[in-house]
Amino acid sequence: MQTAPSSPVGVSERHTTVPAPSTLQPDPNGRAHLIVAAPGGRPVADLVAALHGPVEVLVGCDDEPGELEAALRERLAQASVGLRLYVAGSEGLVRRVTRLALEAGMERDEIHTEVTASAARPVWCTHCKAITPDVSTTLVRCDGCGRTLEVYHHFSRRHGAYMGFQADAELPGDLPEAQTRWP
Amino acid sequence: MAVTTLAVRVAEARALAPDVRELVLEPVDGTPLPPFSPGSHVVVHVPGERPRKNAYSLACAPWSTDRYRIAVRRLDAGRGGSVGVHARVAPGDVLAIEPPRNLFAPVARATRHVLVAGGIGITPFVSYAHQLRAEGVAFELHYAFREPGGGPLLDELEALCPDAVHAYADPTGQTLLAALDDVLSRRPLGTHLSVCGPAPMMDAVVALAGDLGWPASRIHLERFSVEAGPTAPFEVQLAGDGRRLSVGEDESLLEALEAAGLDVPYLCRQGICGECRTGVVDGTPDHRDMFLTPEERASDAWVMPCVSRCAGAGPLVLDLP
Repeated sequence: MQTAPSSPVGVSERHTTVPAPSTLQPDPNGRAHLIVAAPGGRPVADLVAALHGPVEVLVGCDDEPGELEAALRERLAQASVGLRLYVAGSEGLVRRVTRLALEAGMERDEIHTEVTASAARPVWCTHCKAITPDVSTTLVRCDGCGRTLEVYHHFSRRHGAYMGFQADAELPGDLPEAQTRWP
Repeated sequence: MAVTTLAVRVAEARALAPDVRELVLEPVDGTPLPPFSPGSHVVVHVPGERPRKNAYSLACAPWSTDRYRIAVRRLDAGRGGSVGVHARVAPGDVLAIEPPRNLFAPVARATRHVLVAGGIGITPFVSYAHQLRAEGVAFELHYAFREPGGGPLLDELEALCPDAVHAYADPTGQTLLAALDDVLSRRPLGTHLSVCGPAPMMDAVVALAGDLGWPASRIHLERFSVEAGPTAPFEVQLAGDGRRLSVGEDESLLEALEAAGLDVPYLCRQGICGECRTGVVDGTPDHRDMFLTPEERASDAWVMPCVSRCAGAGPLVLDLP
């Protein structure tokens, strides 16, 4: 189960780019369908059965994201408008695949996602621009520059990652307590 | 809201088709006109006994700052603006226009554009063609028209981008739709569809694209104006000072408010942009815009005075001073 994002006061759920929890539903408007699923994730047999038109399934593996991404890029480069993409897996996989699909020219209303495994987030460092994957805690050491980042309620669609900034920038050493929020 | 206008002189006027008149407009004082983005329009203050403010797409390159061009199809059943452009405007005349605005800009992320024009709906795609050609972005222009010898601006566009233009001399639009059935079935991801033409043709293209799996995010429309249906006079009351106004059958609610000296903000005057949204205190509007959501329409709390009217004789009581 994914918990609802904890929006700070004043953040509009309607306008925020922070992804809202969603479940995979068959899209009756699609002419062809491509499903990306992680092993051990949500079974997609019911989804496949509910879809009309050609359906393809790509099975990904969190340990070797490069292989899946290459296969997906190749597939999308051949695709025509009318395709719908379905992604089930960890938060990290879902965001990576979504970013890749947007780069390949897909639109957000053609991409359906469901986080069925770890909710750990990719975090983009506003200082060194590196992305630290699989962050489950509210504070994390940046893979790129080593700064202690606070994971903020802000999502970049282009990077497919949440934003993190130096947690003790105002007062060096003054760090809030880290909590595990995205197991 | 005070609207700045530009004074332009009609440098040339000629017929592009029996019912289409082209006007070339140049600055009166030699100051360059503002550059604009593809798909932009200007609101032209058309002189006449009842002055009209009509929006026309700029049919020239976006960087054409020494002269603008518009092409206007005469609509005898319209409210008189296009007839005024045909009958009352001559070379040498000075007109007031409002600076370019855009409700139909090309999608910057698109890697390919499918442009579909019906008749005088070709006009916004002239600036598209110039810009996309200059940027080297892939595009194809499908243009259906009723003139057997070729629609307005066809020759010019074929000369500008011969490989991109596909012409359909077919007043029914059936050959266009048959061609689009194939085109929209096999275009790469990253392609966006933009359509401008008469409402029935646009609706048919949108329906076809939807059947072929094109989501709303890939379909972009520029409607000429709201094809309004019959108009009848009605009464309006201003909630502020209680004044009552009559709106004639040949004027819009916005025009009647302006004639009474009210400063109602507006941009497109076509029921699209939402700028002139006005609160309704009492009475039932006859909604003819494309801006309000179905829920907002049903609430009858708002009206778009540029195109919408009153259901019945009124009075429609507006939240105005």
